Amino acid sequence: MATNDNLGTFEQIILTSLVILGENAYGATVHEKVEELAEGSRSIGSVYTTLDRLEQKGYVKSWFGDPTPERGGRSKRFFEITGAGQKVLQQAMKVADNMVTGLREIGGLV
Amino acid sequence: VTEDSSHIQRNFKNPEHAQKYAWLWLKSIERKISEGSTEDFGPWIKDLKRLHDSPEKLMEVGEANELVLRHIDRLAMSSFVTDFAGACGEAPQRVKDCPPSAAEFLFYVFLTPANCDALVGDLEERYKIIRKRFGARRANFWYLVQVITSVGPIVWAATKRLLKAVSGLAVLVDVWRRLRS
Repeated sequence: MATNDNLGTFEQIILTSLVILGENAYGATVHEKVEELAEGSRSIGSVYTTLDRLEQKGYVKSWFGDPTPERGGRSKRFFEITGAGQKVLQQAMKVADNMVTGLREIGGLV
Repeated sequence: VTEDSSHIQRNFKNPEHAQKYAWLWLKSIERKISEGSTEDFGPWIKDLKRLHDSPEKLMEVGEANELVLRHIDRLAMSSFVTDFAGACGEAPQRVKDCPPSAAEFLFYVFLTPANCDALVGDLEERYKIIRKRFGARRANFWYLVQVITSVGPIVWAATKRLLKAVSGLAVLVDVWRRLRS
């Protein structure tokens, strides 16, 4: 597991979505939340491949729920952020916060 | 009469056919259970029994039956549908508010079945919401855009996995050659 990994912007958005959604984080809701946070359309394929990558890094864990009639008998794949994921997201937030503070100090951009 | 029930009437012009369809599926499920299938057929057995017991009444109802029909259509093997069509002279058609299916097979090529099932289920879930809010045309367009834009990242991820495996194999071959020489 990478301990000093730099998260990409899309990875940060996805991890943030998982934190916001909590127990209701599965493919469709994560995709919807990502589009809301990113303020634009994103493909569900890119969401899934990023979630797979984050799972390989140990930042996310996933499991399959029971099939439901609402989805034509298909299962949901639920996702949850791990402790390592929370840690790396906090680190990324801290860096972003430092950048905002730095820009505010010189009165630029923000 | 809703759009949904008209779909069911279009699928089964004759109530006896709907009844036969349900009966054949009940038999098929019973066989699967006797063969030791672990899939939970409970809800489908209940709905199929309802369909079997009162097909005329059920044909007047909408969405709930459509979900049952969609599920059994999905489970249906092409041979079963052909046999049914031969026996009754009509075949169950594709449910009208299903997303376009032609693109789904692309996911099945590059993803594991469970992962693919979840992804297609997510797409179908959001498709239904968009269709309800904005209509079929927009929902179809959204679905196709999602499929087309999703293929790229999925294929790329699969290619990277393959390249990793190949490069790992190349390293092993190299080590083996060095050991031999």
